[in-house]
Amino acid sequence: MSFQESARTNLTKIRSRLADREISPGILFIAPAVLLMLVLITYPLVETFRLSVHNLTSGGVEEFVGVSKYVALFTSDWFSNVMFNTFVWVVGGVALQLIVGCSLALLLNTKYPAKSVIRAGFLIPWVTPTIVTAIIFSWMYSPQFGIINELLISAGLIESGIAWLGTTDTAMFAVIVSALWKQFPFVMIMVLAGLQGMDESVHNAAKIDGAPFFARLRHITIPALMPVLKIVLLLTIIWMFNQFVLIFTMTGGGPAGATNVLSVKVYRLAFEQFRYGDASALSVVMIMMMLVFIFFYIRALRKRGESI
Amino acid sequence: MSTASYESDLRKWARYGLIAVCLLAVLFPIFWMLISSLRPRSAMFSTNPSLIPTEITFEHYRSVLNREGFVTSFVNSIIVSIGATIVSVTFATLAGYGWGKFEFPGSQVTAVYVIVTRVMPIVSVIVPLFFILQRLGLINTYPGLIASYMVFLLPLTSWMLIGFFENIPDNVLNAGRIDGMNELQIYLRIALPMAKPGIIATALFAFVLAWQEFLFANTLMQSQDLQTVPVMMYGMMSRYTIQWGDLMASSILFILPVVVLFVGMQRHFIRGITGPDT
Repeated sequence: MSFQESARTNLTKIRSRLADREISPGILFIAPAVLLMLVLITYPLVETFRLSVHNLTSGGVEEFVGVSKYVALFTSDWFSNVMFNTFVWVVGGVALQLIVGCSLALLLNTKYPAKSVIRAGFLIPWVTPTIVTAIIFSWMYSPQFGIINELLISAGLIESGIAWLGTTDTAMFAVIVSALWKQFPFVMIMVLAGLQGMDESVHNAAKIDGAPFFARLRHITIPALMPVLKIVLLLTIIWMFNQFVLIFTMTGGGPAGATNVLSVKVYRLAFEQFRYGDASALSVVMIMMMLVFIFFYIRALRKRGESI
Repeated sequence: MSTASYESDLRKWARYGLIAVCLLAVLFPIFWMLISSLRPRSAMFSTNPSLIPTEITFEHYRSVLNREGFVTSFVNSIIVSIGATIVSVTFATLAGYGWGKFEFPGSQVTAVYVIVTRVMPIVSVIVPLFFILQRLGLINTYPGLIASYMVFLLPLTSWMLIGFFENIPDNVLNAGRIDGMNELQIYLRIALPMAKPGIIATALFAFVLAWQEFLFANTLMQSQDLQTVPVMMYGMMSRYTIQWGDLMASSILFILPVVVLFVGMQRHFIRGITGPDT
């Protein structure tokens, strides 16, 4: 067998092998979106990491500074305050949203007239743009002419108007309430969908056996809702953790840093103080915390039977 | 769950009453915004405002519509939101079909990648993204802002559409393959029409999110005549003396398109939140 001949047979072998292992059309379908996400999300994320360990000097020359920005961050006078505020903001907001959202879902999962209209009414806050939520609540919280102060004064509960957003003791609570108004419908509608997908017969059997409302809630409804509740909990945590617009436009992180949370602090460091390196380091801290939530979120999705 | 058969009349009416009170409380901020936008300037700052206005005026609406840059910012918001919706849904329908209907090496890893990108804090990418767009000369341009919106729209819309495409039975697609259609024809002629309700729900979501976006618009559109409505309203909000009446009127005008869309297409919205199985 000549060399040429063996080369030819080898070539046809390779060709047929390549033809067998054709690229799945699935890859071609996802390619455009994945490429765009790589350019617009992954590359900037990598850049954020890089900026957090380099110094940008005036000539545009970069010098590697290791973890010194992180050290400066953790030892700065504002860091613990920002972490604490973020914790209060997320935990307080999530707790209120879950309580209100779940209670309303249970209430609306009954028979009543004009069902779809009423349900739509409860969803209006959720479609209200965040900036408008911020504007309405700022107006209602207004110290002199705000309706909340007017109502409290006429009810005799307070003597003079409170600057809800301008007082360090009340500002965080006030913005959490605005977040509650905006986001509880999400919890409500998810839980409502979960309730409607439940098997009624178990519930009715318990009812006939005389199980009171809270016993049914604890032993039937909540266990059956658990997969949905876990996902709702994680999505609400993520939403609160990432929320920027509400706080930034209502208080700007103030007064005296009382509502300064991670997202607002990153923005201020970057676009008001132009400390890009510090902003990037703080971003990396945010991303690391977010990865923990994502881990649990993906686990919850898998438990619910999604194919990821 | 039917509770009616076990319930006394008294409890039934108590329940109706509770629902009504909750609904009124939830809608009060919207109601108050509407009232405040219709009250004359003088009544705005009375120390004892009545809940129902005695006098109605459209002066705030007139003043806002005559405000410099107001109409321009609306046009900007419309261009950017519609542009971002079209671009994201186009890419996401392709991607959702790819992930939803094909198994290929790396399909799981890339699907997890979508979830991770979907929940990443936006502030953590905005600094590098600003520099990238600046290098490309895309700061202060519509395409630049639309591209930045893909950061949050693309993962979300792709993720939503994966679920909707997964629900299409494989047999239908295989029937197309047996008929000799190629993969692109199957996608265009079978998968897309069948996923239409999901695509509508996803597009509505994308539009509502783009319509209210503030962070990118505030950072990447620095010239006044390229502002979107949320940025313009933030400007009105951070003045020393705030014209509350004007702010309320512009808020009403701004939420109008979203509320109309929502009321008209409520079922699509709900399907969008809770997923394809409901």
